Amino acid sequence: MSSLYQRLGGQEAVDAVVETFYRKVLMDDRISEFFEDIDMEQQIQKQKAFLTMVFGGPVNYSGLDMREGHKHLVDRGLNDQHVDAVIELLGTALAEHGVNQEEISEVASIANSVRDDVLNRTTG
Amino acid sequence: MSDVEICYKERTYRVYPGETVLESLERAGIFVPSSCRAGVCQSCLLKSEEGTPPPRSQEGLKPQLKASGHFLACICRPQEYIKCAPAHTADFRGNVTIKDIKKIGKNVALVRFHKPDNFNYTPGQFVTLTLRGGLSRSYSIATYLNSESYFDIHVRHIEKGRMSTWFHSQAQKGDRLWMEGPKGECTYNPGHPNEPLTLIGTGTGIAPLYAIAKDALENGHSGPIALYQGALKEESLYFEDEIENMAASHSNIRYVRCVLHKSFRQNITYGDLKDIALSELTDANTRRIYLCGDPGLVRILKKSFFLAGVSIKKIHADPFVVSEHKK
Repeated sequence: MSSLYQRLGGQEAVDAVVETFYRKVLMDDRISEFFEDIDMEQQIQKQKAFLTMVFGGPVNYSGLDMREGHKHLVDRGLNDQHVDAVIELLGTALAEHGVNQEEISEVASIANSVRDDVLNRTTG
Repeated sequence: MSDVEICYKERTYRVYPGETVLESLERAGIFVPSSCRAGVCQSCLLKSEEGTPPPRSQEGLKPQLKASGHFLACICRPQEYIKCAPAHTADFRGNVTIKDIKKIGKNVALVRFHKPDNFNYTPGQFVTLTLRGGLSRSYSIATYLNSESYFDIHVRHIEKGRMSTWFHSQAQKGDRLWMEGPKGECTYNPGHPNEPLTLIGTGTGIAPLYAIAKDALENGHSGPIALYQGALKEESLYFEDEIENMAASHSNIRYVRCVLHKSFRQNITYGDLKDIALSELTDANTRRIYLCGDPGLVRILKKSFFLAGVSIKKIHADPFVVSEHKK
């Protein structure tokens, strides 16, 4: 079976989804504070890389990368509610790009699989 | 397939068949920032100074980065010798001599330099100038014809600013400065002559924008170009005649002067620069944006235009940071 990455239409489609997703993140009062004061372009490149992996494209992040990349945010109070909000907005962005609910759930469960790493806690 | 040699920071390394530039350097114990290792996150960006990187290693980069030889080390499997350097390394490093200095606005001096033969720039780029003693600042190039024998910068006098005070009170014709450049990707994007463009600048940020607009016209750009010059007070506006002349001879250029504090001039729009520019925004999904000047404003504008629907790939920002080593 082809990956969602391929079904979406490869890197260009992922890029478009990321921009939609990032706009939602920046406008959402629940989480926008974590995205202030950072270089937008670098942030977008990182999101592209992460979502490329989530969609089954040619990127592999290790749990360690995820931990180190978010540690400073955990120190600033990043918690489960924020991760929920991010996954919810990702789903909305995907829906706007014509992805069906079943696939959105699949993406959410992959995104959920890195939750403990993102929040820098030991897997229970 | 046999090994290929690469050079990085004056040392030579061997790249085994199938290996990437990143893997080769890491195997030799050289640290290069990296993250996704799949050519997406652009953390491992390097610049080729000699040799051609494979096209695959430039996929997804801005045209300006491709043109200046940048590539992604994590997906670069070189087929030939490449001399590489950290991203954004300047092509020219050497002395430049002041040709002329004149005052062109309240607190703004035009400094003209003799252009060295081996220094070539694209309008909109900037250079870093260093005085004897080590004081260093970046300035955008205000001219637009690389073929001329000179190039200009505009220097606004900043109170207590050491470099700008030197330019305004001590610098003389014949003085030499160390220069590195050109730098920056805030340049015209050829090949899209109908693309609507919005250029917004405050202070001397208008200088590179004027150069970009001129370069666009030189390239036959026919799409609409909106050029906003922002200032707190009307007396801070300068370079108006040059921009007006350009607008007068090209019907696709619209010149908007935005001033925050009200006065009585007829040809000025009063109000908040961001609000005015956003209220006049059309074709957000096809428009390209250039932002130069006050870093706080550039940051807000970048975010605002992105949220208004402009792709981040089409927003070129050049914040003029007032600090020790940046502009």
